[in-house]
Amino acid sequence: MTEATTSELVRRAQAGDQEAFGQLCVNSWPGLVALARGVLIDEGNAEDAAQDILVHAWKKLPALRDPAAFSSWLKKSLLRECIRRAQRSRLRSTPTVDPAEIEVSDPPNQPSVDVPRALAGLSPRQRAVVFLGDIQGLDDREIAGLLNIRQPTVRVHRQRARDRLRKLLGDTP
Amino acid sequence: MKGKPQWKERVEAWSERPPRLAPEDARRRILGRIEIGQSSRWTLTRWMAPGRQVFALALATAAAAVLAIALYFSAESRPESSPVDIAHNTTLVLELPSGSTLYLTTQEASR
Repeated sequence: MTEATTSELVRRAQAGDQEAFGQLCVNSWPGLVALARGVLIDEGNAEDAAQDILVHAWKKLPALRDPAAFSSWLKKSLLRECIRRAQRSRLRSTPTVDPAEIEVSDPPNQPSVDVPRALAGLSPRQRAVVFLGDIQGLDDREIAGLLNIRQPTVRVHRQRARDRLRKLLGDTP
Repeated sequence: MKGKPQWKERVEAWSERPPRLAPEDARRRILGRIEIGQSSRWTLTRWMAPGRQVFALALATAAAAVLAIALYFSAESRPESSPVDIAHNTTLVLELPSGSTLYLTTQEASR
């Protein structure tokens, strides 16, 4: 999704064009769900949160001054909502995981802990830092901006998360 | 060149799965909710976690109590319309709204 296309769609959506907003939803859906899943772990909760954020975005879109900032604005809202939901549901305990997901993420001869359970041992912010940094490749400054925390805090979260994931999921390349 | 750590490969593989709900289906649902004007999820109570709701209620109760106490004491400190202190050989001087002054002797005031 190029920035020019997004900005144009956002401007049209701000003017009330629901078709343009629908296209924005289609374009951003996979990324939003992946990010939400990284924090909430459960697929259903992640899709629920992503839908809620997009419905909310439609109402708040007129207040967005810079259409080019739509993606990061959306991500920030989603992260805030997902962390709030995860803290409320105390996802440090065992998450609900579809057994089919365990088979996909754990090929034979892998350590017995599956990815969702390993992620459940992290705090919501630690999960967010790992996904934004290690999976999506954002730098500390960008992560700090999205999560509204300081860069040293980002580094602390990342280190703790990596230490735990190394123990549970393996460290050798 | 050193490969990726195992944990990172596994987390990446897990995160790269496409959403169960296809983007077009998600679009239809979202636009449907916008059409209906579904906003119950965005009420104040939905936003507020249970802990925050209790805190907000306690704060509102405390504010109401403070206001009630303040109103009570402000009523207490207001001088009541004191009864005429009747004493012998006293002249009561009343300034009327019209600007004129009424003088009452003791006997007239106690009547």
